[in-house]
Amino acid sequence: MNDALQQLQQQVADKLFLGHLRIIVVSEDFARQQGMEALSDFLVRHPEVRRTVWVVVSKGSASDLMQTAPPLERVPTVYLMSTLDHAKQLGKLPNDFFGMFVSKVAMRGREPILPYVEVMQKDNVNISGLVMFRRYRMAGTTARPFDIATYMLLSGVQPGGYTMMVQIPGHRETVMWQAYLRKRRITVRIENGRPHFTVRVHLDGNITEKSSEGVNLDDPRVLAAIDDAVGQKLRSNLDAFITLTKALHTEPVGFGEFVRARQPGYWDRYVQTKERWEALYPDVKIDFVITVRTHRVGMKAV
Amino acid sequence: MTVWQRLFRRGGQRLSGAVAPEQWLEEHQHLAYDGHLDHAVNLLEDLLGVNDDLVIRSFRVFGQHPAVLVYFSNLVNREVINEQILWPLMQSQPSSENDRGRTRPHDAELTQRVMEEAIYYGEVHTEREYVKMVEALYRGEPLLLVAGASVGILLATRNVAQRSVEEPQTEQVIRGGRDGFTELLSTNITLLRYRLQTPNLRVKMVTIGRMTKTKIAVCYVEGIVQPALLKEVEDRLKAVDVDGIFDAGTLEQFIEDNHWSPFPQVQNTERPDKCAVSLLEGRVVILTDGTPFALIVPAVFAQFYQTPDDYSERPVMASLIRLVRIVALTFSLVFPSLYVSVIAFNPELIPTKFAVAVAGGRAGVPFPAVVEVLLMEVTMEVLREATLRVPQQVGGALSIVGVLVIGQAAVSAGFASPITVVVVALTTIGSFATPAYNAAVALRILRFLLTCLAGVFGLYGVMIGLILITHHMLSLRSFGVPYLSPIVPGDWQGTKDTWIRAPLWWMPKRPAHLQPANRRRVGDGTLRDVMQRPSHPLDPVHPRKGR
Amino acid sequence: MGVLALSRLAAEAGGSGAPLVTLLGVLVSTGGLRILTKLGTRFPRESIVGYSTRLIGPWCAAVISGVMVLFFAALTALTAREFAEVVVTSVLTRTPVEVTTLTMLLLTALSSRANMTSFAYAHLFYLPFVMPGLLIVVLSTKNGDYLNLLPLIGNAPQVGSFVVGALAISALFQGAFIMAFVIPAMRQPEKAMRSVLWGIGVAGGLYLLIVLATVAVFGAEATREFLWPTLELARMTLLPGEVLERLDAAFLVVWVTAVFTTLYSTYNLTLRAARDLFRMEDHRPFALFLLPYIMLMAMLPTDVVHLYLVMRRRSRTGTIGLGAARGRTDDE
Repeated sequence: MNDALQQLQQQVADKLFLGHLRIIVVSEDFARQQGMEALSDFLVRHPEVRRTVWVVVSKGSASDLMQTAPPLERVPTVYLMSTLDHAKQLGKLPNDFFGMFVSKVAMRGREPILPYVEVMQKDNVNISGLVMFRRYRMAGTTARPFDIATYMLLSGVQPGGYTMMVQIPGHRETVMWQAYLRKRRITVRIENGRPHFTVRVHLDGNITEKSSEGVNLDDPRVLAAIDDAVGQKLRSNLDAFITLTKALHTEPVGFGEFVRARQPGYWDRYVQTKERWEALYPDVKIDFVITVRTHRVGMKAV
Repeated sequence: MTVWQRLFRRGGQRLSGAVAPEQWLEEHQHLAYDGHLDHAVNLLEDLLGVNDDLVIRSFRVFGQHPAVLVYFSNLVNREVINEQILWPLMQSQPSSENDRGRTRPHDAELTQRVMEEAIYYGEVHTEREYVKMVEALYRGEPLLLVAGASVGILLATRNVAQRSVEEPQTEQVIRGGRDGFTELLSTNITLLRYRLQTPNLRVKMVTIGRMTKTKIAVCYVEGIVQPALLKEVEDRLKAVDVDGIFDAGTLEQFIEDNHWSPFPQVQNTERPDKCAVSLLEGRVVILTDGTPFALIVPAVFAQFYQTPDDYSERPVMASLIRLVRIVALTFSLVFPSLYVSVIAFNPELIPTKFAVAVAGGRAGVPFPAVVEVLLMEVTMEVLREATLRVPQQVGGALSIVGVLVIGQAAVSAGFASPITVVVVALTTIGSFATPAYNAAVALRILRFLLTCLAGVFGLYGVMIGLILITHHMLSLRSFGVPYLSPIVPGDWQGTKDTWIRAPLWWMPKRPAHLQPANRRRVGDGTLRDVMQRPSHPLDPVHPRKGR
Repeated sequence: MGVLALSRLAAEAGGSGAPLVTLLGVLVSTGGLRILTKLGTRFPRESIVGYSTRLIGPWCAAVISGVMVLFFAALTALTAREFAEVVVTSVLTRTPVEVTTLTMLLLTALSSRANMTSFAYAHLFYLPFVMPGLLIVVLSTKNGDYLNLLPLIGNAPQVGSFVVGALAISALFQGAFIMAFVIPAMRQPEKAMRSVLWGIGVAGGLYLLIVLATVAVFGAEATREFLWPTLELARMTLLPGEVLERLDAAFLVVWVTAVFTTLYSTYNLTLRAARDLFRMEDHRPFALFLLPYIMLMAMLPTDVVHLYLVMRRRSRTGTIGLGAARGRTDDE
């Protein structure tokens, strides 16, 4: 990394200044093959680099992403940076900047994630998911866009910003349901020598759109049905996410941290290291208790 | 005979020779008037006759005793001399019985008669020695010498050009008295006595200056001032031995504690109300003849950003305005150095988008940030000094040139970046918001020091500089009072009047750092009465409820 | 060792039990200082050099005082050097470490010429400077996770490492030894105990909060990896409104004051101990005379790693040495 910067310095007249380094793009290949270890070490050691710098993994080559910007933007990276910042503010991206990556890598019961960004058209980018790591090396990406929301829900990140489309049971119509508050509580107990997690999840949200006049939102029963449907959809999302991480042997949510913190006796005796936790993780049982509540239906009465 | 020889001869004829009158008088300190009028006139003529405005008027008192009236025509009130002194004296009065037939009455009797019956004027005193008489002559007191009497009579009819009492130019207020001190000590004491009509107000006079004989009035309120402080002030004044004191500022330099500090340790003011308030706090006010500025001792740093307006406005408003002033003060001290260190050492501190703009603005500037800022600061100081000294008619033109040079041309010539101009301008405005000119100058000097340190060490340098300044201020004393009181050492009562201006009824005690002899200034029951109005006579619903 | 490395020390010793280690450290130094203050109030007119002569005989006392002078000179030197290393690493990368060390020591030496009253005033004046520290702690809680603080005694706790860590942290309070020289200058020496407890309460409370915040934000594991975790905390923290994008340089500025007061204390301690040892009336001639020696001492460690090794050894011997000395004087 230092080498690369030295070469760059040879090519530009002014002294390179990393104090305003705001975003680092790493290509998927690099993250999978070399891993982030050397890069991360360099960044932590360097006094100028800020801890709040974004590190993102690009689908395809990193330089393509760096050059992407609407024609009006003076500095392309500023555009990229504000895309990420706004996504964070809207609750569509966890606040996982570089500093978070460093501390999560060091934790024994948790793995880091980074945003996964791809170029859509010529001058447009899309945050298409999260990259999951095993230590410093990329393990895989989340499969579906909603997985970001699932991850944020499981790690208790506010605010909720994702919208989901649900079908009302017994109808063909759909409504759009947007979460604004996420709550989750994770408890762990040891059963048969294995940690057993119970995750209580609660979502507060609003209805933002319905597809047809046929749905009567004035009816409490319909709202209850919508809550149910959201819950079911959520459950399948959660299950899918857990299955995915178990398959990848990576643990971004930090269930292991709960074991370490809440069941130190068990942890000290059987787990102790990250490697052993990763090995244990696929066999861990995780239950979900989901509650959903719709609060408002917007400015339309029915 | 050449001119030189003539001069020499004339000099040789004179009693005093080439010796200066004052030295001659000093050598003959005890030489006194003995009733020989001719001797006395010759002596005075020799001593002072070179001055063309010396008038020696001979006449006869009561039509019989030869006498002279000696005065400097430009120093005295001629009307008074003609009507109240010469006229009654020259009236031939019926002499008393035992007088008749005697050519030389008993001298004491004559003096008494003149003073008691013939002079229609209040301030009269007598002197024997010539030294004292000459001194008085120069104070503007006509000297009456009567043949046969052994004392000279001095009449205090000084008349010096005097301007009227005007609003002080250096300390203007929005609310509050519009009167300011003038050059005449007597007027100033009048103004002060008018504000504090208590017998406890004492005015002690001291004369300092071998040549100027400047009168200094030490004013204090007995029963409030700490006697030790008063003694120290008097001792320090006594120690001053110099030929001339022309201004309160000259005196200040002789009595202050630390002569090399940039910070003023004595407050000066043109406002009698400020003096009166200080006196009531237990301070000592020193008035100097010939200058409209009074000195207030001891002074602590907080005084230099307080104004009389703070007390005449209501507490919330006054506190806010005072806070603004503190911010401006801090600004004028640290803003350029912070700018330099952020630009040159820590550009990562400013938001990225702004940093891009700053870098763009600085792109054409050939100097490093510190040189750029120093250049602009110096330009600004030169401009400020020039506007201060230039005749008012030219001032307008000067400020136009200044605005153009600093605001526009410097930037477009690539001499400075626009942001530097903004920083320098804000700093200068900040320093103008400090009410005390001398404190503002102190901070301006230190600002340059800080900027240089920032250029070398960045924020670390600024911090080093600030610690140095703080330590200097912590070790400063004004007449023994720590300069940063009442913040350090902490005093709760004083603190109420430091950052904010607490309601007056909430500050019942005088500042403790002055160690006043009597601490309470607000009456015991006042707080209760102020907080609970006893009745509401005009209440529409429950009139006269309560007491 | 300074407050910048504090969390690392604590996390190394106790993992997620770092706050507990800190608390223990604070308690240890409270105990030590209580003894010292009690002795001081028993001889309210004399400094420690004075009354130790009476308690344990002139020769013994001279030796102890000599060691004390050397010890606090070393403490001053190492603190200055550590500070300079941090500054050179993080802000002024192009400045030689000698220059930053020297400026700081020079500043201290010049200030140390003032008398004890100014010394006390200075500390009172700088007291509000703990506020930015608190601010960083408060703002950083946004990124913190209480899970990182559990279990409270740490995973696989070991008593030995806890004790070592607590002693290392109590070494942070060695500057408070200045009390032994402040008491004779106090107007009301009987209030000394109260002010000592207040002082420890404020400083210890802030230390505890800093450790809590650091471990909560980074987790115990990552805290161990940073050379100066407290500085990292400032770097992670954003000011709301984003006037300043980074707080680390701003934090360093505040920290300059903190280090300055520490140096000011230990330098004064050295000065006054030396003065009493040589039975001089005035400490002023020593102020600049000591400077080159302390500067030399500060330059002895070859690099940062060596510096921290030396500091660790020094603080350990210091705590044991001071403890022994206190115990001995107390027995007599």
